[in-house]
Amino acid sequence: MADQKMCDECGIRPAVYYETNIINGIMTERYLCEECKKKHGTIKPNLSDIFDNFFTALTTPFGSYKNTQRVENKVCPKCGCTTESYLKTGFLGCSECYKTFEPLILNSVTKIQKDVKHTGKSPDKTCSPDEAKYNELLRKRNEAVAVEDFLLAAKINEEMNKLKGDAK
Amino acid sequence: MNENDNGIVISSRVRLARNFEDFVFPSRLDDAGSAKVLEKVENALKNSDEKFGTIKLSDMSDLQAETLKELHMISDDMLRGNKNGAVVVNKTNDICIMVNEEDHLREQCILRGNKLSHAYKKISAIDDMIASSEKIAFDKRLGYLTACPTNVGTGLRASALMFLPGLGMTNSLEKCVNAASRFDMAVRGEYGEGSNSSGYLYQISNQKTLGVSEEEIISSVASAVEQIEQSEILARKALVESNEVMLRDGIMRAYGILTSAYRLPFKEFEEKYALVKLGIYYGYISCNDFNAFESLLDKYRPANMMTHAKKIMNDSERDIYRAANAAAELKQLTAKV
Repeated sequence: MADQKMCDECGIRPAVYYETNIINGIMTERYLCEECKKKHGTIKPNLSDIFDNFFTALTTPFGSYKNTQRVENKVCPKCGCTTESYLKTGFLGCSECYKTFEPLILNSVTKIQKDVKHTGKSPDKTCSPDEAKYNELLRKRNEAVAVEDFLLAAKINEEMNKLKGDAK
Repeated sequence: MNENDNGIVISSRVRLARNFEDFVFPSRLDDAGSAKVLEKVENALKNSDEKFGTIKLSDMSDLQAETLKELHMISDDMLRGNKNGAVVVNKTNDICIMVNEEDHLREQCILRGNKLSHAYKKISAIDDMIASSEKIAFDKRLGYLTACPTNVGTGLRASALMFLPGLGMTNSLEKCVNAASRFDMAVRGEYGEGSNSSGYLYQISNQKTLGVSEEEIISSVASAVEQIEQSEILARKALVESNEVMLRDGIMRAYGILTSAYRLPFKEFEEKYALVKLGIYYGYISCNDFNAFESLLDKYRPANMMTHAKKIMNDSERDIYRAANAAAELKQLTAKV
């Protein structure tokens, strides 16, 4: 039999279940056998464990999980939120926190969102020329997809990505 | 029932997370501050063409709170939140703004059917109105700033509530979850992560909120919803082709229970209701008012049912009331073919 997936938990029996979990927008997946599904299938960690593990992972550079670096404990001057409380709860105290903990936040955001540049609307409703051009390209791409002109859609997509790249 | 009204996409919801620049986020805000936040939202909406009303959490009975929660108008987080937590709603209840939840504002529009784009337009107009009277926490690079950085950027979550018995019964949902996750979409149970879906109800929503425009998010969720809807139609075809006798028998037994039982716990009602809805799709059961039929599920949820009945009931009383009243309504709305 080609490529029989084995159980991620015991590694010995063939997997018959596929399980996904989405925690704070991050999807994890695992394959389980009948036995391990009974033992581990529906057990979920409690909320504080989720955040502890999740944020530890996010603040750890890729590939160096066991080599945890000590993060400097900063305090937000506006609301008093600390690096420690942010890492523990995943929540910030005010908009100023984004400046106080900037490197930490950008690190998390990049990993979760795979992007660090906002391209949507803004509260003052004014669009920059780049944003206006991007929206125009988006409209054209949707039109191309609607008439199944995928070659044109791909070309427009490239232009959109270029525009996004320039904006970073 | 035609394909445009096949009942697969039950509702569309668009939510925008926003904070006021001049206030610390709700988890660190004192009572005076959160009262001020609420006041500012109410003032911002005063000039709207639509009339809005405020229900403060502290003024809500447990039953009211639970009723709103069942309708997705307030969240669990909100119920655990501060005393100036409130929900600001329009007359038709399709726009509701949770105030002082995880963020100062969770502006949301919930519409029946497949109307994500329309829902976004409606809530975006309300958002513009609030932004024109109050300074919103915003950063040029990261977009709208939210209490949890996972929501930064557009702060937009677009989701569709879908009825997927075909995919559920043919064990094809995993494939769907897999495919959706490749496009940064999430498939969850009706009431979010970990909630069960004995009525085959699932939410499809975007995960990415930064680096994509609002229009892109709406169009990508809409396209995922369309793909899943097509897969559901194929799964239903496969289901009936594999063993129609068993399927029809199961559906008609469910119909028998819904129209004849003496007591009906909600979980059982939800399961049988799903089968009857499938029976209407296949034409085994006729329905003279599909919208009214669609509204039955929410109407017979425990808190909503007590609100409609205007009385508090214990479990057993509720189950008996549900069986009698749901049966009477179903007999008026539907018939065996």
